[in-house]
Amino acid sequence: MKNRNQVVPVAVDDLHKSYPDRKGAIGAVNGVSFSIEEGEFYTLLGPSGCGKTTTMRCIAGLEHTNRGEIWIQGKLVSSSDHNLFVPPNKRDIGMVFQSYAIWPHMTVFQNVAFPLKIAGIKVGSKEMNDRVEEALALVRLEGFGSRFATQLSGGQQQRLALARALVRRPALLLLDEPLSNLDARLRDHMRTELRAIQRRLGITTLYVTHDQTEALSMSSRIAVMEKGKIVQEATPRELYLAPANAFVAEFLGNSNLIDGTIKERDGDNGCLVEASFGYLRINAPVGVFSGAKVAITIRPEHVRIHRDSAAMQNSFAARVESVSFLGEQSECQVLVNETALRCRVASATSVVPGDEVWLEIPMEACTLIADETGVPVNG
Amino acid sequence: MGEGFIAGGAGWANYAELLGDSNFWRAVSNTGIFAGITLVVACVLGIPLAWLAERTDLPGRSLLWTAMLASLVLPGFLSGMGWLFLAHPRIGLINVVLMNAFHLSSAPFPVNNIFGMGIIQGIVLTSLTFVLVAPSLRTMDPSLEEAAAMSGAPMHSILRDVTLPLLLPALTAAAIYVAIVAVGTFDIPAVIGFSNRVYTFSTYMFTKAYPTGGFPDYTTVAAGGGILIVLALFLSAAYTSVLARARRYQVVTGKAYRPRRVGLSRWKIPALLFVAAYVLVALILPFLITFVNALMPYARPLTPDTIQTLSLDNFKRVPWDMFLNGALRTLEIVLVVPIAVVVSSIAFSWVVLRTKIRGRFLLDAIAFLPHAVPGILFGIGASLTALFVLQKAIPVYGTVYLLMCVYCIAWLSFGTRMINSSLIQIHSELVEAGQVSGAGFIEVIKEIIVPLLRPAIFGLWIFVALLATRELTLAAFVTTPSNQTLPMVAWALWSNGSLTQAAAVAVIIVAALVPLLALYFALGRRMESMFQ
Repeated sequence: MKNRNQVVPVAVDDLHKSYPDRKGAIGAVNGVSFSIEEGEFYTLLGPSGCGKTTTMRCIAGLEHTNRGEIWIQGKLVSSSDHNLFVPPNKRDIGMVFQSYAIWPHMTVFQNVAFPLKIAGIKVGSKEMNDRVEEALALVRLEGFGSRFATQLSGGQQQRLALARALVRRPALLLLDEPLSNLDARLRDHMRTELRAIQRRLGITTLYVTHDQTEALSMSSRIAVMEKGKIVQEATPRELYLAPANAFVAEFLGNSNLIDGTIKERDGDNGCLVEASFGYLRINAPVGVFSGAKVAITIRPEHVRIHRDSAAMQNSFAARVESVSFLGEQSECQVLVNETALRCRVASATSVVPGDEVWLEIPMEACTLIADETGVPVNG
Repeated sequence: MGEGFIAGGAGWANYAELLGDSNFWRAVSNTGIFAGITLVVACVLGIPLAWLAERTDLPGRSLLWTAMLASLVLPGFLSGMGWLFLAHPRIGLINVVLMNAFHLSSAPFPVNNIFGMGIIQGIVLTSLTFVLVAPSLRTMDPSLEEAAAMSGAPMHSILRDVTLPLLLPALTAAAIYVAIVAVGTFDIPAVIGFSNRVYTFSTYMFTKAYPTGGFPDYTTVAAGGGILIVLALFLSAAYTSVLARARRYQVVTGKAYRPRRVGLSRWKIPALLFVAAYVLVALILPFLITFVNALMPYARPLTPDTIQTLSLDNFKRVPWDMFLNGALRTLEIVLVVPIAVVVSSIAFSWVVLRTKIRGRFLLDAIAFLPHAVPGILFGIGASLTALFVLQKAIPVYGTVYLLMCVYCIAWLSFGTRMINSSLIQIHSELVEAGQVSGAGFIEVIKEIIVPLLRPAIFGLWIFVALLATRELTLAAFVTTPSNQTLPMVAWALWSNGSLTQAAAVAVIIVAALVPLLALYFALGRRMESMFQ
């Protein structure tokens, strides 16, 4: 592990962090290890309280760790064994906070100039002016320098926070739920912009969010965290299509989660599963054997609704229970042999509650994720 | 002096002697009556005024705030002097005029008894009640009252069934605090009661510590201090528990509400008259009459005959060496104490709010304690400690340094409350953003914390400077001729019977407060918010 640690921008090894509590200590992070490659956009994803923010704060040096080691650019910055702790101001990082943390007593220019001033660059020097202007231009805030930071809108403050984090050209950019305080439209816009800036600079980035859309659309790799541990680390596509367990599947989207038993294997990568509502033919990895209890996720957007039965695989008679209009799509609750399933259809499809329909569940809509003990079979 | 005294007299016998003194018991019952009347007057005037300022459409509300803050920092002894000149049975202007007009044989409003003193002290402490109650009224969630209105409750029922019960903890806390101040205050009992031999606890103790003849009776002073500590502990326990309850009610959420204001309509004129009468009685009259008397050869009512005797002679006859000495001490104190309070308040608040050091909440409690302890205890305690404990190692007794220490300790609680409330509003991420930008501890303090706290720091500095210039109670027991402050000079002249010279000194003190007051009101808006 040591050799690897010395070349990658960030390596975290067996990180533990707990907070004192009335009843003793609450473990916030319980043994997290990962490393980030040069130029990667790496995301820690999970619900609130899963330890993702604590992990990031440990990397930033805003929290002391209880156990484990943290390396930044091959330099050991935190180690309980060596009783070593490099304070945040000595780590080569830039960070954007959830609240943006724009200093209200400074102008936009002064906010961005602050890290340079601390680094010893003379206020008013050409170098400082050039670098601040460059950073402001990067986030499209040219000409705002003399304004007071409090006069900016939410989106502008967010961009200012990014400029301030980048102005020192740090080795690592930390983003702590930076989009969560923006309204939905601005959030979509900033998501694209943030990723574009990150790509242009090629800066290694660690991103923390609880929003699966943000994680899936921005990241090169995602680590899903639950109860202080990483439960799955994968690319967005892998994660979405092949969640390692029920938690990841549910967290990543409104999947249907079905229990079943493997009836027979069918060639190298197919099998027949007996689910509560009938027999389902799905893709199955090697190593799954007949009789195994499994869980299957069925992506609602992949399920199709037909008016009549045609020669289709995995087709079931169903009744529409409810329809909720979500804009482009509508979500339908259907009942298949007394099992409720959710599916998404284009809103142009005219279905109303009470309709008798045929449900098609294509093989690629299903992911076999776990046996009955919850141990991933394809992880 | 000192050690020889205490040697033979330590032990419970001191308490027995004190408790056997009928004068002590008269002082105790006087203090009870005095504090009770003070409390009633301060609440009856202060709470409605606060309600008018915060919850009605009364015109000139910010002017009312200005008047309240001015009377908060105006010296209490000046009000005492003014009211003696106004309502003394023999020389008081009001009494003399009324007696002459209606041929009365006795003064209709004699102020020199315990009731009169209680009423005057109540008027003086109305401003304190006001600033303690007004923020709770302001930050009260209006939806609580609106919900009652939606339930069909009329105005008087909303006030009685919703507003008042919600405010009750805050009101009780304010009342206890005012009572604590009243029990220990020196200004009014000294200025009005002393010459008439009407003693409260503080003035009784003063006669023991500074008797006109013979030696100081420090053993009795110590015993009296011990009794007061018990009372103070009881009161501060009550105060803390009430405050905790007030927080549980969550009336004050820190959110900026814009409470619905009640339209006064036809009550507008009576309300304005009420406010005007208060300002006249609490501020304008006492100051004017003191100013007039400062121009008189000796204290007497202003009549067409005496008006010709007005002159600046008093200002010439003031013992200038004594005055200059006092002015120098006061200047030293104003230069040192406010800065010391600001620095130590920031340090305390930082440790309590921004570190995880064990026992930091104990530190907060210690800083808060002086808030709930009568100021007189600090004076007595500091002077006894300096005299009998420290004298050999650190001879501070009789120096200005002892006075500075007492002031700092007494006002640290106010300072930490004020800095706490500002520091708590500074999001911790603002500091962390500084750290990840490369700034170390010193740079974070210098570049981020201090600039963000600047309004609070400035406000605290001015306020403590004002308090330090006018403070009498804390100084009374720590002063010797070598460390006399200006208010003590005024008091010394007054107690020697040079009433008009004392009035002249009081007028000079107020003149010295003016530049500070001007600064204070230049920050008017911020000052209002700092009491939250």
